Amino acid sequence: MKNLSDLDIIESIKKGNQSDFSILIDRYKNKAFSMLTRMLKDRMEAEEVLQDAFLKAYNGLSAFKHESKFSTWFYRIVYNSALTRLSLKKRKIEKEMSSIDDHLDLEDRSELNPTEQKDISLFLNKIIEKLPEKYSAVISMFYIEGMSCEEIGEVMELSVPNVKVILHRSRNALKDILLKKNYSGELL
Amino acid sequence: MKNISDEMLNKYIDGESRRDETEFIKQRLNDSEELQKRLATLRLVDNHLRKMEIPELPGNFTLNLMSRISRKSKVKKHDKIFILSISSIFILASLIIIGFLLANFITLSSGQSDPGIMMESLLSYSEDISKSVLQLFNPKYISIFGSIISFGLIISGYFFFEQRKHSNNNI
Repeated sequence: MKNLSDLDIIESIKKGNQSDFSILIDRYKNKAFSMLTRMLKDRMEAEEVLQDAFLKAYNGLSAFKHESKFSTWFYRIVYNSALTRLSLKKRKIEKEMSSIDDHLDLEDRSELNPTEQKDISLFLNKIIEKLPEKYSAVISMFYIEGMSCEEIGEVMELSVPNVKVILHRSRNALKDILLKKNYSGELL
Repeated sequence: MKNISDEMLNKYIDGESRRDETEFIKQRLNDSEELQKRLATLRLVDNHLRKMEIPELPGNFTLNLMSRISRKSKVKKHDKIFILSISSIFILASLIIIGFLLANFITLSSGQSDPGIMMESLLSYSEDISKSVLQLFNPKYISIFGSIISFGLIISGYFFFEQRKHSNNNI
């Protein structure tokens, strides 16, 4: 059962096998949760939003027309749910999301304790946590879900070059911080 | 191509560089320690991102969500049944009225063999019915008729609202 494709499972659910939806939940929950945690910066909230996203997906399955992959369709629901939650929290999301030319400056956010400063991995994790929502979403979909830039563009309604710009900018920002903190010496 | 931009390095590690760009970067890497540092750091970032930890959800997440879904489906089913029963009551009441009118007409016309007389009795019967209906909308009766309809709507609305509230609390 676990080897079934998403489409097979959806067909089975549409035929009335409601419990098969749990396979889809198990398949996507952790990766989607990872993206939501990074976007919302709050585990509890991420869990709530994920539950709502799955409910929306379940209710909308009949409207799913197989025009795109289920994962793309589902991540669009997840991403939009996260944006709705963020706007409800009255964060200044519009300012960050309206343009991809926004300034990504993580340097002033990279204040860490000495232990974190010693470990590159810990250090990077802390910096990644501080990435703006849109950057976190792209990073999660690209690296964790393994989605292509085209699919990410479809989810976020961005062009492929814009997705690449965000991706490269995120990496560059992290690289610049590492270089500034002289971590690069350990690499060579 | 004098300087190698971050953009070029990103494309290089993604394997999206043009052949001439790749050659140029490889050539510059041999004699620039600064470029080696930049590329190594970018690779480190890329590798780290690939190995990012995926946070785990609580073990009962799927179970909780599935029970929420099944409760929601039950609520939907209950709503359907409720609406169906209310509509059935209205349809049944209408059928009884129509049946009663037809039965009356059949009783009136039984024993009449002349189609002219039959037509006449039908017309007078229809006239009686329309008079009765019009009487319902008379200022004298409209309040009673309106009250009965409103009472029916309020009662069914109340039960519908209570049922929804109860179901939402369960979800």
